[in-house]
Amino acid sequence: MQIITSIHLNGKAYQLEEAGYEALSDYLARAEAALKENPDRAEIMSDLEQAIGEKCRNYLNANKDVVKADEIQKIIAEMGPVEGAAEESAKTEEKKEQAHEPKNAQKKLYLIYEGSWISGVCTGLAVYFDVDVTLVRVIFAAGTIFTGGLGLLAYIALALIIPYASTSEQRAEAHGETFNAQEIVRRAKMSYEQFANKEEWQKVKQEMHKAKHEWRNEWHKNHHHGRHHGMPNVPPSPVAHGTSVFLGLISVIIGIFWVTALISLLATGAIFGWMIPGMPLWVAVIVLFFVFHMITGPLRAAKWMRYGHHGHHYRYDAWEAITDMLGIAFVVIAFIFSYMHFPQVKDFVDQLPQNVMGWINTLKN
Amino acid sequence: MNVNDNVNERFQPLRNGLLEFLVLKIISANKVYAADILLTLSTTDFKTQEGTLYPLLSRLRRDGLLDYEWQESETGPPRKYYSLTTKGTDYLNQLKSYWTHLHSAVNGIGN
Repeated sequence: MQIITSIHLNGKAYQLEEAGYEALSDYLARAEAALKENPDRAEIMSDLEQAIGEKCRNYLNANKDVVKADEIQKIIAEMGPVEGAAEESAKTEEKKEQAHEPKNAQKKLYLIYEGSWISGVCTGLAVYFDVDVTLVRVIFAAGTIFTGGLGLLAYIALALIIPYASTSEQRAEAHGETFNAQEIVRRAKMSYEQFANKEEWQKVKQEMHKAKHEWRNEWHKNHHHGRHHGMPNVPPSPVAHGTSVFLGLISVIIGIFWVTALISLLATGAIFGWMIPGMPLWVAVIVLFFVFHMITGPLRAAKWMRYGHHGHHYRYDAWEAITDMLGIAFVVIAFIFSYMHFPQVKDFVDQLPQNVMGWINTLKN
Repeated sequence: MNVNDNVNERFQPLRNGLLEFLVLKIISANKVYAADILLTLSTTDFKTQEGTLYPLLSRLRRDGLLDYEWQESETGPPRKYYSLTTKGTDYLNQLKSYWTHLHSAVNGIGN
């Protein structure tokens, strides 16, 4: 017994054996791909379908109403490969197809450490959905606040489930792009053209790059000095791997600590039973955010440093600078907005100098 | 490798280049539809297939060298019958005279 599939060829129905149907739809898909650049593609396709239909009819009669798979194979052989631009050989056309194919590669969801704050969930999602990372962070923050912690749970779950893009190929996959030397050069060129003509941006970029470089080197030197007795500046890969595991572990510990601190703060109004003096709850949350960000700063720099060894340095810097600037802008705007519209914020800010004096006195005593 | 096959293969690009000329010639002689063209060519060295012919016909039409009209057929759906436009006839005449010129040039060389 054979499964029969019914198809339309230029408006007329034919019944084919399943294997024949598959071979035929494959042939038509290849034809369509070969004619991609052809302005008369639709017309040629319907011509081809009609020709196939006529050939099918030759195999049908009053006692036979199904076209067999081997008959379809014969028809396809008779039709011959469809050539794209009439002068070009089918072979070059095929090669072109292959070159284009990976570009449409499916994006995959990965954790992305580049420019991440905690574990790369937000950056990964931002890249996957092609939106700004700040937006994703705001959504997560808002989701956490309005659902009473559900957003946070979702975040933790995602951090555990989504794999980390550990190879360059995987990072490229996360962006849905081909990973090859050509592509990297193309992108580097593109971002260079985009930014090179903006003098101001150029200056900012240079300064940031310089500052970060110095800072990285400094940190790098100290770090390795302490642990590996004066390693050279570029660590060999086993050491780098060890470092990365170590950094990952530290990040996870700090991350867990931060999350539990936040939960305890939101639930009890105090961090592990320690009341923060003279601060409303929301300020404490923001302070906690900043403290966390500052503590993880060196860790993130260390991760960047490791990416530096892997290549695409340039694109990364521009990207990360934009993200950071957007983050700062967001915080500033949020601050100004709340200062203007919420009396308790205004009060708090106005009283801050006094409060600071108060805290210092408390600590002194 | 058979010498005959080798000769055949050597002239493949030439035959590809001449296909357009021959298709125009066939259409100029008669109002034809695609299967007629394939049938006429099938007994010659210029045997070709739908996969090659349809894109070629569509390009020639786009270049304004030929046109088609739909005609009912007894056995199935209406078919496209092709004919040359004035531009196509002019172009075919140029091709014909150049072919004559080329033919005598090839024969004249080395004799």
